[in-house]
This record gives sequence, C-alpha cells and structure tokens, in this order.
Amino acid sequence: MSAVLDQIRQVLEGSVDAAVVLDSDRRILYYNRAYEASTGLRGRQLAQRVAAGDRCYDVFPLEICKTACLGCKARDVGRALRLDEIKAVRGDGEELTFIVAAVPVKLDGGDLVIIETYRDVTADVRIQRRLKVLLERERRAKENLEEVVRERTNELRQAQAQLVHQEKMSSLGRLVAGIAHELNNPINFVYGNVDFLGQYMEDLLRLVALVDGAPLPGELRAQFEQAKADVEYDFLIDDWRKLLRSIRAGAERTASIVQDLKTFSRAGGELQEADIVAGIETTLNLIAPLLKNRIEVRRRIAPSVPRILCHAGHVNQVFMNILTNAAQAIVGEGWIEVTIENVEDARAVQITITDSGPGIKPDAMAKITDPFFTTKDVGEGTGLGLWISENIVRAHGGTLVWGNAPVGGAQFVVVLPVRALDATEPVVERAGA
Amino acid sequence: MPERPCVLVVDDEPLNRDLLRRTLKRDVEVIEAEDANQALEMLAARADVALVLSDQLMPGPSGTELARTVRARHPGTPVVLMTGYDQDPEVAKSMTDGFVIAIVSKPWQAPALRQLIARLLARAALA
Repeated sequence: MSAVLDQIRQVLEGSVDAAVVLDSDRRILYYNRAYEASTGLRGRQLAQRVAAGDRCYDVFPLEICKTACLGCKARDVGRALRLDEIKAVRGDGEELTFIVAAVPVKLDGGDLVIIETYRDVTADVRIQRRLKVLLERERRAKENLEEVVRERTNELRQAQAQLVHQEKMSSLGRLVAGIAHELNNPINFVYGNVDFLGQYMEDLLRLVALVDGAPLPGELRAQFEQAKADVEYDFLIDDWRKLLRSIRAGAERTASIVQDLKTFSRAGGELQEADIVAGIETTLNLIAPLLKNRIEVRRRIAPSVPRILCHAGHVNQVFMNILTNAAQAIVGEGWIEVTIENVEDARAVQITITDSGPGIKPDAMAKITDPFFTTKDVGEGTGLGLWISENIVRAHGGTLVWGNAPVGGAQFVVVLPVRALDATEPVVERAGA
Repeated sequence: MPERPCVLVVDDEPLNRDLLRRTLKRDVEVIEAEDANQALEMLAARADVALVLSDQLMPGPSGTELARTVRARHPGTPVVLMTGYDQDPEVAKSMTDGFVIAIVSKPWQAPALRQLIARLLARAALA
C-alpha cells in the first residue's frame, strides 16, 4: 500500500463527508464510513461488492455518473473539480442531494487515483426549499395585508367623508332653516306692503289728476306746472308701476328661494310607508299645466313596486323637481318617460326619468346639483331644486345619478332603499328656533 | 257706522303688526298685542274680540300655547296661527287638537288673508 494512499485513508476515515478513492478504472480502492451510510448498503454487502471489483457508478450511482463522470473529468484536466446539487437515489429509494468533489492524486508509485467526496446536503436543500416557500408565503401575505389595509383605509376614508358630509349637511340644514325663518318676516313686509304702496300711489295720483283737471288761478297753475316739471311728473307716472313691479318680482323671487330652503331644512315629519308610484302620479297631476297637451308621459312600471319607508313629502319633492326640469327642458312637443323598477333583490326601488329635451350640456354635468346653479332664465329657477333633491335622496340612503340618455335628453336615476330609514335619522334636521 | 268685528293681532314684530293692521283695517277693527301674555290681558278686558290672529314664534309663550289658553278661557274665540314652518309638528297638532282653526303660511298675500279672515268671521258669527 502506497504511503500516500495510507495518509489519504487516515484523513478520510473520520470525515463526515462520504469519500472514496478510485483507481483509473473507477474501481473502489477505499471508502470511508460515511460512504457506507450514503450508499445504504450493509457493511458486509458493500465490502463484498468492492472486493468483487464493482465500479463506483454501480455501487453508488449519481445522476451524473453515466453522462458526465466528474472523477474522469478531474483526471483529464488534472485538477480538483466540484459540482453542487447532484442527485442520487439511495438503496432504500430515498432521493438525496450531494455536493460532489473529485481530486486527482498521483501516488508515489506513479499511479493516478481519484478521491471523490460526497457531502450530503439533502437536509440543507430541503430547508432552503422550505425557506423559499415560507418567504414567498410571507411576501404574499404582506402584499395581501397591504391590499387589505389599502381597502380598509379607503372604506374608512369614504365613511369619514360621508360622516363629515352628513354633519355638514346637518349643520347646514340648521343654518339654512334659521336663515329661511329669519327672512320670512322681512320678505313678508315687502311682499305684503307693496300692494298697499301701489294702492296709495293710485290714490295720490288720482288726487293729483283731480287738481290737474281743475281750473286753477293763473299763478297757482304756473306753480303747479313748475312743481310737475321739477319732479319729472310725466316720467314718474309712467315709471312708478315698473318700480312697483320690480319690487314685487324681487320679493316673489326671494320668497320662492326661502320656500325652497324651507323644503330643504324643515322637519321631515313622520316616517311613513309611501307608495312611490302614487306619489309620482300625484306629482304629474300637479305639473299638468306644464305638460299640457305638448308632452306625452310614458310609464314603464314594474307590476309590484314595494312601499318605501320614507319622508314622503321630501321624496315627492325630488320627483317634482326632476319632472319640472324635464318639462321645462322640452321646447314644443316631446315626451317624458318614467320607469319604476325593483332592484337589489327588491330591497330598493329605482326610478328613471328620461326626457326628450336637449340633454345636459357637458360643462353643466358636474354642476347641476351645486346650490344656486341654474341654466334656466333669470327668475325661472332658484338653482336649489337638484341640490335639495340630491340631499333628500342621500338622507334616505339612496343615490341620484344623472346623464344623457342614448335616446332622448337628460336622464335622472333615483335609487331608494325600501327600508333604509328604519333605524337612522334623516340627515337634515329642523332648526331649534 | 256699522259695528265691525274686533280682531286681536298678536306679533312681537311691530312691522308685521303694521302690515296686518293695514291689510285688515277696512274689514275689521284691529287691536294689537306684542306677546301672548298681553294678548290674554286684552282678551280678559274685552269680551267682544271675534278672532285672534297670532304669530307662532314669539318671546314667551308660543302661538300654539296661547291658542290652548284661549280655548280654555274663551272657548268662543277662534285662533288663527301665522307661521313660517307650515310643517311644524306642534302647529299641525294644535290644528288637529282643535285649538287653532286655520294656519296662515308666511309669507302670505294680502287678498288671500283678507278673504280667509272674512270667511272665518262669518263662520264664527253663525256658530
């Protein structure tokens, strides 16, 4: 036995890595204890096969043995080589993973041997794989968590915005109610008194006419004519009526704004189960003068529309506003279509009102529910109708959306939950005054 | 001069009282009180008040409270309420309870108010 080989044996004997020394024909000259364990062969079995001259690739076949023998390559290039993650199937069928190293060594006699070592990294690989899975799972969980947090944050933000809006509308309701009430009396002064002023003026002018028509002494006549010229009498008798008309128009317009504001802010009264279909019919009757014979009303009403728990007066106000707008938008002849459907598994009622008018202009689309925004002629609308409508619908837990219909003009869609108000108070409260 | 019925106007706002006087003086004799307590004193002093026309919101007792007392002390004298809140539940209740025979919404129009008062007085005179 070569002294070198003997030294090699001593080194390899206690190694934790499996190791063999092979001759150039790949017969096993030596194997250590760890090798025995790796092959899965019993001590004697292994010893017999080695003694019989079995080749290393038969005793302990690695996946690379047949195609690319690492030891052979190391011998050919004359230096140590190493390959990671090489698989082998042990005698008992278990698949193992090894780091394989091959070192060519020249013995003192000149013979070349190959030392091959096999480090079993099966457990490491398994742990690595496991770690990878865990890390991936954690990454996904984190992503998921971020997604959930994002969603919840969004929900919270929306809820908060809604709360802020409700609180705002509530305080606004109180403020508006206060203002509307405070304006009531002063408007009444103007509104009520203007007719008396007119009457008084008529009386005074009749007196003046009487004097004017009477024969006056020359000097008095001259004085009278001078005074008439001084006060621009001819202009005055023409202008005072206009003046009175504009005062009355101003008072009437203010009164209608206050009326609208009162609708917006006044107490909702008792909650009641209301028949939406009947409410719309009543509203259509009320605006009949606007419809006359020029506008055809088309109805598409679901066979059984549930009654809705609501502030009926307010809800009818919404339809009144939308239907009035529709009627006013139609120049000449046209149609209004009212569709009433059950939606959300009959938990809500959807009312769609479409007209044949010119539709909503793009620049007005976002503004139509702004308070005091109106496209109507001065004095025709207060610009509060749709603002109030949107607030009423929202206070009922519903939605109001609008747009232009594919066929026809403007389209308004109101969705009202059947029982949204069961437990909640309306947003708009009555002022404490 | 034929005797005209007496109407007691109750309103804390002097300009409103002026306007009511102006509106009604051709048809009735108008007397004024600036709150519910003064109104009750005047009712106690004058037995011939045919109708009370009262504002709802005033310092002190409200119009509905005044109406309740008038009903108890002077059951033959009808009360009409003027209010900006025509949906006020208290006002609506006073009507159903029978303390108030009519509600006038502010702002009102003079011809309509004159007609209403004339009609109510005619009805009260028949009763």
